[in-house]
Amino acid sequence: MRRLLSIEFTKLWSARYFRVLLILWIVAFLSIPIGFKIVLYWLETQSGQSLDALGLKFTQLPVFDFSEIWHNLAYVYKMLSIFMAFVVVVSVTNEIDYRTLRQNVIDGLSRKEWLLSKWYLVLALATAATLLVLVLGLVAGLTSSTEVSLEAIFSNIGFLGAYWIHVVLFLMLSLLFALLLRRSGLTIALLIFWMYIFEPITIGILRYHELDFVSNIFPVEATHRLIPWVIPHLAMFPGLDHIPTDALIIAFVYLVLVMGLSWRIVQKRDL
Amino acid sequence: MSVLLETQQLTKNFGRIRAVHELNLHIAEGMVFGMLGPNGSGKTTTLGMLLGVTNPTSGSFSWFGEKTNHEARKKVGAILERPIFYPYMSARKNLEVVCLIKEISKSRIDEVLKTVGLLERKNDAFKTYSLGMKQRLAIASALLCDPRIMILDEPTNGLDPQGIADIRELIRHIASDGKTIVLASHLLDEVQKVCTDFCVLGKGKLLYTGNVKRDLESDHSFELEGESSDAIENALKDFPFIVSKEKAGEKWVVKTEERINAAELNKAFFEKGIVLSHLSSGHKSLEEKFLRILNENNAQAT
Repeated sequence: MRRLLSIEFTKLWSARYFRVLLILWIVAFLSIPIGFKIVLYWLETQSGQSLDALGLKFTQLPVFDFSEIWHNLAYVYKMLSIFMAFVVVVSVTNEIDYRTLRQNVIDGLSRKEWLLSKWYLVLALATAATLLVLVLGLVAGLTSSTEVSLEAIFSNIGFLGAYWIHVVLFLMLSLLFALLLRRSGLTIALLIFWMYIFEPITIGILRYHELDFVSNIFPVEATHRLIPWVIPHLAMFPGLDHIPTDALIIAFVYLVLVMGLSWRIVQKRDL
Repeated sequence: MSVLLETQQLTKNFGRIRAVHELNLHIAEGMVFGMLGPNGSGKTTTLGMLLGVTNPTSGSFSWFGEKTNHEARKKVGAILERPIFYPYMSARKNLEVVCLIKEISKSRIDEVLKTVGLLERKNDAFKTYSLGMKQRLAIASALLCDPRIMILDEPTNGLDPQGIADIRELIRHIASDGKTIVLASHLLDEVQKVCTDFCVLGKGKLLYTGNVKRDLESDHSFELEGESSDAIENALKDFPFIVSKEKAGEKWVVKTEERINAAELNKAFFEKGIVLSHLSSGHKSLEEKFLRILNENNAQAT
């Protein structure tokens, strides 16, 4: 595992796209909570006394409160997964495009090891992102939360696990797309089309016809359902405040399917 | 001599096209083995199968007498078609990846770069290299694991005369170190100058295998053909002056003792009651031989 990871990261560190995406991702990562706080302060100064009279303060919205913070952060950060997906897609399609996958195999890497090195990349990215969310959550929570008991801090930390699974599944899905389509531009375009246009519209139509059980098994939706919508919850309306079990099962089935298919493609294809 | 590489009935079909058909090859230690064949004769497909990038349709092969092949590939230095590296990475970084893959120490990187004359450019990105430099880096990469056997597929393709001369010199230098080399090329002159043994492929089939010295340098070799191949074989067994005999397609290639010339050979057959329909002597150029083998085969096919 160490050898395959160091092969993968030797390839990545010198690549400009990787450094650019990494910096973009970190900037986006940090600017979300900071930007959010600034916006809240701005809203509060703008709203003036009318809301004060009601006893509602924007800065006191329980966004960064333990234990909701884990759910909130996981929900927000799953939108940044696309950056990591780009890294995975470009690293796979580049190797097909440059034919370095073929050269790696000639040099003595097995096809299995090559795919494993990409899987390790997925796991490394997911783990790094989850750790970053953890650190950020602790910092934001400890500085803003009204309650800081150990119980409050850790009671909803399961959402971090859900976030990790979401990232792993989403990146594995992107990896499969990349293996099938072979071109980075095409893969990224299709991924964006699928995520932001095809799935939302189809799911919207299905939901309208109350066919939720069908819309729930769409792949990207499956990764998103691991971390339910937070807004109703924040606004004190009833919403899901836990990880849906069926979403976990669907995600697990997808993971097995997607990884199995990638494995088959890499083994069978002439390079 | 131990056999380093062996194929048994190796076959690859692309759809209905037979790219390689039931190929049997034996490469022994110390050989510099030339693979000849026109474009599309299956050379690269064959090497692709041996190197794990093309899945064989049927048949098998073994490296160093073992069947497992990705571990074996770590001990082989190979270039297939054109040099392939990460374009954005320097020569040194690229070779570091190869070291990690082959599980060898990085200490030889500078040494092999020096061998191919790229040491001064080792920190420049691969994409800034000229074709000749890329080809030399590929050879450096193949040398990295200090392999017992090297596979070189068209190593002089697309190079200028100076580049070709450099690569040829490099191959000679490597061969003189006692390494076994498999060289696929259409530059027959090159194969003749560098190789000890050779084979000819045509349309995926093995048409001929032979030894360069025995086949080309002897003035006392003859090629003959007659009505009955078996009768010729029996007669050859009886003749005391035959040094070696080999069947190539329908023809026999024989080497005789020095005193025998074509007329005497013909006479000897005639006395046995065999009339030869074809008798020719002393082919010295590989090119001639190569074209002859191909033509014969085309004639047979039609």
